[in-house]
Amino acid sequence: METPARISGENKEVFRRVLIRCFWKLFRTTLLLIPSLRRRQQGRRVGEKFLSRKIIQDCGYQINADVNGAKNILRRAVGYMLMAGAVVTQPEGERFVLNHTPQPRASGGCPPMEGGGHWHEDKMGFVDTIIAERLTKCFNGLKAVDSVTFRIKSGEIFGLLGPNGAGKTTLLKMLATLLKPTAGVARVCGYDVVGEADEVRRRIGIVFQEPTLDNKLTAFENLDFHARMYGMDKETRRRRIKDVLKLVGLEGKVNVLVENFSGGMQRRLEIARGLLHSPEVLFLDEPTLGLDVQTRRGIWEHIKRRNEEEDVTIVVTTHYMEEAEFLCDRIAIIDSGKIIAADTPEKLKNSYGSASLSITVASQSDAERLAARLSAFGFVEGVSVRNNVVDVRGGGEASVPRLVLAAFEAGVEVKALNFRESTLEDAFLRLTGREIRDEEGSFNDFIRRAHVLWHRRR
Amino acid sequence: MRARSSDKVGKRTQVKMKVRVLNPAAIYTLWLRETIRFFRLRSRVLGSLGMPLFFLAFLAFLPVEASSVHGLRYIDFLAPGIVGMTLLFSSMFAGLSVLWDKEFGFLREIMVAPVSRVSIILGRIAGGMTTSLFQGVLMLLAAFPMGFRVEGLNEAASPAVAVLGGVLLAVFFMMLISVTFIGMGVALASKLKDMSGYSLVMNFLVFPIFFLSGALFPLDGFPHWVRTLAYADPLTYGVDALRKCLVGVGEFPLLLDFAALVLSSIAMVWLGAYLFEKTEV
Repeated sequence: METPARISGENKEVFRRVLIRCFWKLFRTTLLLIPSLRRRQQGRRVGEKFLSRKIIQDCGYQINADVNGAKNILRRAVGYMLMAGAVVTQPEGERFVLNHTPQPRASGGCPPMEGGGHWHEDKMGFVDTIIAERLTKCFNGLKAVDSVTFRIKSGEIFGLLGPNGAGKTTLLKMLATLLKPTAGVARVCGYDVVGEADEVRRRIGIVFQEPTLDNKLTAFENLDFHARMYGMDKETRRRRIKDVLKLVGLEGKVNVLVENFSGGMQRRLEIARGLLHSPEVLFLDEPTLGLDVQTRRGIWEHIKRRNEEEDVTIVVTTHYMEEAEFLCDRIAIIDSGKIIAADTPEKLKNSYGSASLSITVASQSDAERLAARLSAFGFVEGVSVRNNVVDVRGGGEASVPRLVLAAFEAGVEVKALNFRESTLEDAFLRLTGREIRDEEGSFNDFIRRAHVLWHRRR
Repeated sequence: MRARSSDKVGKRTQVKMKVRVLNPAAIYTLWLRETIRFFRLRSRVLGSLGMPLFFLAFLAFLPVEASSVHGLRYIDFLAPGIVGMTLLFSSMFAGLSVLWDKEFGFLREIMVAPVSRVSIILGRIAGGMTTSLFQGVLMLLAAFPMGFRVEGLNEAASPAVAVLGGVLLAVFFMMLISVTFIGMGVALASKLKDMSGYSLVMNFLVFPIFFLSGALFPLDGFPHWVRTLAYADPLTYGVDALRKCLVGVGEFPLLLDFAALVLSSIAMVWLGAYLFEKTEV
């Protein structure tokens, strides 16, 4: 007598569960009609399991496997390779083919990576904060950023230096999830900028080229808006806003409308806002465009200090040489959408710039004799003589003693030495050429820029 | 036991880290910004109320025969229409304010925040709805000195219930109207590149919607094709519903108005969200 009752109770329970499940499925399906939800659904898959086939193909890999499971394993492997910063070395058009050969599973984690690094399954444990792989962006068939590959280490100040219209801002916007790459992948803090845009957004701060403050709100309200959008609670908001305002020296202007701020103050407020949610990466797009020397210095100091004290990774675009040289640990010189050189400012100067040494000697005949002797050195790029002065280009600071010693050995009396260090500008001009660039942009951009400049000058 | 509890903690932090699609805090933040701005820019409020106010003031004295407007005094016929017009203009403006944000760069600040696009749209709708509702109610109040009287719903038990219920229902319909047109505004703003398209929208979309809605005059005597166009205009149903709620006379049943407005607001919000998602700034 008991049994039927129990069964019917169970049936009821099962029925209830099935019904709930059906409703839930229906609800989910309805929700997925909203495009953003659908994308999140796909994004989660990209992030957690493996990169989509398209991304892998965009990066120049092709996967061959007969079994679907093996295919997935390979996809995941490629995903990890890319996440760990593997650089594709194949020439364009060719495909790097992964073949599945069934083998007994190796025990004990992943093999070490070439070059000393490690494979990281843990997203937070990456060596490199930013990884860009063949990143490309086209606007109406025009390549603004053309297959750019680079990596930025954690805690680094990385500069993107390039002439107007080189694609710096486009590159930055792709890394900041505001533009979708046409091809290639980029990972910021271990998250994909397309599939996991929200996770990336949470970890980055960005200061744009143009002002992006609400003029009709006060400084506090602007910061408060930002803090609330990043989900900070009341206590944290109050504390952080106070902190960052003090940081940029605006604590006295808390309740002043932003429209009454000068250009430099607006800029400082924007930097404060960029730092408000303690981002891991701070993007700065032309942070000192149109500012006076004092303000510029002040902002540089701020940026440096934030990097040192809070260990923020900073990516800064600029076309000011002195800015790049003062701030950056590494500089990528970018022109027509391609990175043409990336190194420390020192190395860039040494390998692409030209230091020069002027040796003043007693007479012109001495000078000619010395010039003939010096041109035999391998590191010397050019020697010229004017009157009793020999100009030697190439080498660097380290080569000065050898040149002077050579003069001594040749029996030439050296009257004066004038060493001119190579500058970043030399290197830059040598790499990008000397012609003047047209800036791509609409009339509207021009007006906006004029507006920006006018505001800053006030 | 210990493993279990640590597992629990891990799960909780994970949930906290997730970016929710519906983020009430962000929606509230966007709403707050919109309202602060609105009440800070008093001249804008006054300016936007100017046109409907003058429409109301000048047309109220139009010598129109009672028989031609469903047996109503013209002011009683006109006032709900003008409220509808106010809602149309202010909501459209609220939706198109995405363009202003684009122009002044603030949209980027919104777009880089870790907030889903759906929440951004909802925040804007919440803000726009508040401000345009405020203007609509203000316009309704402005109609009283011109001789407007609220009769309320027809079928109600007592006059007090009729008036109260009518006004509350009217406010509800005002919300639906403004959601529809904020959605439309956002959709347009997502497609337009800058403010130069603004007047195009105003002249070729907003004014036809306004005139076709029958806010100023009944559309009974118009040619067939005009009436067909009017039936495709969401504001027609909005104005009709307002009239029914406030003065008790209308062309369609209230349920039809409701269905049409709910449908149009869902469609417009969906379209707005869809196009907004695709914008790149």
